[in-house]
Amino acid sequence: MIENLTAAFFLFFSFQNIFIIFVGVFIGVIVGAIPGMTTVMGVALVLPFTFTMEPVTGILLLLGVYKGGLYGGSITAILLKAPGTPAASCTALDGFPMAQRGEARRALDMALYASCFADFVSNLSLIFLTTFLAAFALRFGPPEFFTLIVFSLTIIAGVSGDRLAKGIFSASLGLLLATVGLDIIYGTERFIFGNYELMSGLNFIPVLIGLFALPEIFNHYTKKNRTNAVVNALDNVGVKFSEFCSCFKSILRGSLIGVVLGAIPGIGAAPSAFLSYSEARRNSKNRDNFGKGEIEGVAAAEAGNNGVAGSTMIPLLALGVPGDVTTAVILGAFMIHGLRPGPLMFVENLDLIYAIFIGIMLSSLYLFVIGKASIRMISRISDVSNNLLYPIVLVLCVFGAFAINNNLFDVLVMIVMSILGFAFLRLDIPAAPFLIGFILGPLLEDNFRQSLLLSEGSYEIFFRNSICLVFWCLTILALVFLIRSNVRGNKVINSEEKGKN
Amino acid sequence: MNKWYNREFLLGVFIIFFAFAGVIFFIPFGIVVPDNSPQALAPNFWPLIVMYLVGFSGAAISAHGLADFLNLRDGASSSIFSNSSISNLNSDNFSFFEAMGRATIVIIAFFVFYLIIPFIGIVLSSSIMLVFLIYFGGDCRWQIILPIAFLLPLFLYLFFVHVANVPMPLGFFEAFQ
Repeated sequence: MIENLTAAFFLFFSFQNIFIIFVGVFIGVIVGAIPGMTTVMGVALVLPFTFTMEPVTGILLLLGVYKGGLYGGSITAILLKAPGTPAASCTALDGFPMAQRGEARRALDMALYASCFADFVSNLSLIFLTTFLAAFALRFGPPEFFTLIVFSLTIIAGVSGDRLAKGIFSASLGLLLATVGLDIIYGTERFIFGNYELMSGLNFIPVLIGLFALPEIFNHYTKKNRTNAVVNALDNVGVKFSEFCSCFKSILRGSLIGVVLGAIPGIGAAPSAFLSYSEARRNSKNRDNFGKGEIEGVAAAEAGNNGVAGSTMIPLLALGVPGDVTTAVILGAFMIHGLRPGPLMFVENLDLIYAIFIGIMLSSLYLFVIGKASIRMISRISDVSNNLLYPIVLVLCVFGAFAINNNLFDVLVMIVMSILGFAFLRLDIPAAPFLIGFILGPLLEDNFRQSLLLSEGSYEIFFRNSICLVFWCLTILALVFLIRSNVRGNKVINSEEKGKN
Repeated sequence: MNKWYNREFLLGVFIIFFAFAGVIFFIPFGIVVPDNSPQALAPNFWPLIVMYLVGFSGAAISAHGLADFLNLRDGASSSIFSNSSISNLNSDNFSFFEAMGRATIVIIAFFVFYLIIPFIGIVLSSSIMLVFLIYFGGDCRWQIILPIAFLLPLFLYLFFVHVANVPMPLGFFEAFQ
């Protein structure tokens, strides 16, 4: 152990390695902050530069981009309601209302602190719990996934607030649009209507930009008084230590949710962010403020989002199974350098793994430094007049949407979704449940059908073990809690109305 | 205020009709179902469940709207609208039709922007769109509008093409490359 650690330190400590992680995190933050540019794109763009580097250096560069990208997505989500990543759309729920109140600095600060803390916890889990979490993750088959996603869907009630029926409609529409494309089992067409561009389904990024960012821009032109909603964002103080402490429970919970969900291949950061947000709302004494600019909501969403950063490496390093698309690209980088992640790597290249661990820990520190520096610069966006800012954001969104697949069809999807989003805005239909349905829908359906394939049509498979049962119990508890709090809320409203009359 | 509660009810009815159209038209004609596929595994099984959910939510919205309408008629106030919808009615905004007209102009401009990209390229079309939107937004400072409108798309083009290695459509300008 000591020998391997010493070897790892020698392998890691070079100016090149220390500098390259900084560069990686910096690139990641920028890529994540550009609407339309995804973390996967950032990692893929940097990949060719790693070919000539040492394996540790190259992999650390990619990991830096990955971690920076996860945080960077939250910057534009808070300032412009244009999330750079799907997971950051959860941060926009409370971050953007805070920015509109002139508290952009506070929201960005909290997002950074929560991100760094969650990233740190996730890194520790990667270092100390790899074997345990990899074994736990392996117990997840389609029925366990299905019950987990069903539990995650209870978030819809949380983000719908007092508009539950509209929230269910919004989520159903998201679930419906997620079915567009080729059927995963039979390969037959679903809602394609002869348009081959739809065969691969609708891309996340144009959908979420269209749904969140552009309706705000359209709405801007419907107002007479178009002064900046964000006022002197930099004049406000950042997050106080006491505020961080008051959100600490939600941050820790979100970090742990991120660690567990990140270790399960195929889940990703978005469900983790939404689940963390939902749990924070359920347990917070300020639950009524969630969705209206509650700082705890920003903290929970970012903790859930970044909590997956280290743990997605667990199945990759321990089993050789990539947890998401980004780690699949990183797996490619390992293989390019002649390394094969998996149990054997812990025997043959332990010094390399330890060197990566050291670099990953350093990346958390860099994330804090770069994030803190970028907040001062980037939050100046809030000072730009909305009459200039919104057209610029719209053009940026068009470039970003096109860049995803080099295809104008994605721009069309974005426009159509923006009209839908604008209708939602005017009709007071919450857009967040749509996104949850759209993100979780394919996972829910695929695992439901795969489970039935496994059981030859028997529904008993959804109750086959303790994991499934735990998730069913949690779902029932969550629903009971939601119904109770709704009934209580209605009673309070009725008594207030009686008082007024 | 009554018409707003009617709108809620009508929204629910519209959603129910949408779900109905989905079940009788969109799903049968939009989804290819192989022969002999078991019901729960058939490609249309899941969309059907979701479409029923859409219909159910439409019914709930209608019922909610109707209940609020009746409550209002009885003199009670309503809690169905959140602050955001009420804020749409305040005096800072144009009248409903004026506001919708302005939003429609922006949306049409957006479509035109999308349609002309293949012909004149993303850089020039973005420049035109920027000039239009900034001017339409009420900013007439040409010394600011023109540099932004022409330099920003150019910068984005150079960034995506030369840094991100993503080719961008140039329209007829491709002949000059």
